[in-house]
Amino acid sequence: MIPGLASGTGERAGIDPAEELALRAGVDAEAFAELYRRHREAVFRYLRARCRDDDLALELTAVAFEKALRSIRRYRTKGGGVLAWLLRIARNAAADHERRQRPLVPQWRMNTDRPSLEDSPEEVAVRSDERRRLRLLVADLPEVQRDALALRFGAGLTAREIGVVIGKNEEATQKLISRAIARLREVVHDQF
Amino acid sequence: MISSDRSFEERLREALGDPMTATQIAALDARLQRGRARRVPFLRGQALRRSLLLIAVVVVVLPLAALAGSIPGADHVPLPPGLEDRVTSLFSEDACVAPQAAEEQIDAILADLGYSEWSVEPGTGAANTECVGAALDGETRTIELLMALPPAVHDGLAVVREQLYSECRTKEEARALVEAVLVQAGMEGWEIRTDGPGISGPSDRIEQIERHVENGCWVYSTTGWTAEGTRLFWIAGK
Repeated sequence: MIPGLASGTGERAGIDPAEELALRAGVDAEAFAELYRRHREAVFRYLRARCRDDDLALELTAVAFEKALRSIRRYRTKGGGVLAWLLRIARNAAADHERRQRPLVPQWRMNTDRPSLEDSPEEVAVRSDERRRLRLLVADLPEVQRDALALRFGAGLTAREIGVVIGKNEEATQKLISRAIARLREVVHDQF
Repeated sequence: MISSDRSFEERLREALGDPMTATQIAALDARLQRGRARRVPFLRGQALRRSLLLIAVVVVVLPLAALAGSIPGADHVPLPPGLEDRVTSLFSEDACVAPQAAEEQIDAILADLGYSEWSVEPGTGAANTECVGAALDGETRTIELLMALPPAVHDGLAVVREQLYSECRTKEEARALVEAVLVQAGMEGWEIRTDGPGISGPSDRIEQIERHVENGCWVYSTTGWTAEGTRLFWIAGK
């Protein structure tokens, strides 16, 4: 048990139950399992939006939680909470993977199973799925814009929370999201 | 075409917030449960083993400076100079290094290099297995001994793997081929299973292997172990 935490109730003043769960997860495997169940969806959706590929997103989600498991003992209640902490780990895992994969050609341009944006709208409508296309377009945005949208609409973070993950203040993050949406609108307008 | 009856942000939320499927959740759960078991295939190949260690180096050596405080990486120490090469050299392609010998030799390397803060720890089942490999973890400063396949099993499975790539075999036939290798090598305490990580193989041939499986052929996938140390061998197919 962590010094100062006598039990796992999460009801003591000053300790958010979610944060207590994270602190307990350092010494309690079941608490970590609960942490994983609560946050795997958000981490996966962030990674899927970032890396285009569901299978790769699953693999990186697993890598992120493995890293989190190894490091959870050092988790401290600061910097936006445990989800932001997990997403920063996920972001690092994705960045590590991308560094190893370079040079990176947008995958949808290589894979014939993916929708070709050069096809006519009719063909695209038949062959592709709107959500998947949007995800692919998000994944092709500049990294910081892609991250902001993935964290906002994939992981469901607020601008303040996103700022914690990507190292910007709330105002700058909000501007970044607005710019990313505007840019994506332009791409969609051009391509769809 | 994207229709215009909903806001663009709503569409983004739907596209990026599309929930995980039950299959994806199950796959992720299984992937995490397998955890370290997935590293086992790396242990018998020099190049792949080095890749594993290099990945560990990447994790350890690349402290992402912007991510301070509690982020993994911020307080990592690099792998000490020479340690990776010295440890890797203990586990050659055709050698079976027993756990006791591995521990003694690694301890000697650590002493020689003066890395007294590092320790050697046996992973699941490694203390009671015939051959081991090793994984370096700079974060915890441990060298973990991991169960490795005896050379005869490793070589036999390599042959079966190629055979199953070149021939179209049923699940029962694939199982029998793998089993024959294990029986012939005198291995004990193993299971052949079909609930593994799916298709795996050389990255430059993976599409070909996937087509092979799509055609109804079974392949040898990979190996791992249970929490109790039972060696698992997975075959994959449809």
